[in-house]
Amino acid sequence: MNRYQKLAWWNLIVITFTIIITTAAIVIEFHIRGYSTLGIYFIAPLVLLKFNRFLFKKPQSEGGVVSDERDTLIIKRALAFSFMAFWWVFLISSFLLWWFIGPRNSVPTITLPLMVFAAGLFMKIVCSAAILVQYGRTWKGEQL
Amino acid sequence: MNKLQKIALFNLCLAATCLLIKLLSLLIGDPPVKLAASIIMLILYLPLIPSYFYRLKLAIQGGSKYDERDKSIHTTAALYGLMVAFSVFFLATLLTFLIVGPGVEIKIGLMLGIFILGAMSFFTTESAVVLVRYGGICKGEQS
Repeated sequence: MNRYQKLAWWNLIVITFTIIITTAAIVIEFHIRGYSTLGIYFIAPLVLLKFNRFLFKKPQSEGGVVSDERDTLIIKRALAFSFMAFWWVFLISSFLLWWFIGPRNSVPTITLPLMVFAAGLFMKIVCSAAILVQYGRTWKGEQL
Repeated sequence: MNKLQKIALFNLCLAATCLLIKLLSLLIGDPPVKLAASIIMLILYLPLIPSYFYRLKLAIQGGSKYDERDKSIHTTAALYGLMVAFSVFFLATLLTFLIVGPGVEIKIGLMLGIFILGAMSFFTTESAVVLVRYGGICKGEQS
């Protein structure tokens, strides 16, 4: 596994872990109090994603490289795919909202920052999955 | 100037005009002005569809009209376009939230408005990057 595969797995693990603990916290609090306010504090593990640039930088073999042309191409394709996926999902969800709620109705403004947050997470997940799929999903890939 | 550059220039003119009209309509905010702006934008946007399919046809034909270099230029340009479009989405969403404030409601149509703004930014940036990467408007292979 090379650096980008490790980073992709790292992203997926951190995001999955955050989603699980946040959902659990919201469900438990909701069950006890009937409403939930603590869920927001459980997204803190996402801070770990900011350390990506410092992780897995050392080549595994002596004289090995961290990334080459092919890796750059894979990253570019994964990024492009994640952006495209985001725009399609955004367009379809906007149309569905417009269709079901009605064009004259409104949504609370808090939807906007939540939408940005969800978009960021969605793109990170899709990009990481696309990287893993392109490398072959398993433990394949050049050892660097 | 080759065919791909001409297509990019054509797209850039249309998309940049649409973007300007959209931004002006957002600033003015008068319903008749918005309606007129939407109709003009729709008319300006329609030629982008055949333009896209013409480029796709060139890409499928391949050969000297669309070689590896052209493919690389268009892939990079598309990536830049998508990144700028996402930044526009991010800014539009957060600025709306900051201007309107929490606890208020917004129209559903705003989401589609943000999408249209993002699409225009994508086309404008992509076309501009294609032209820049070919080395400007006047350079490039003659076709």
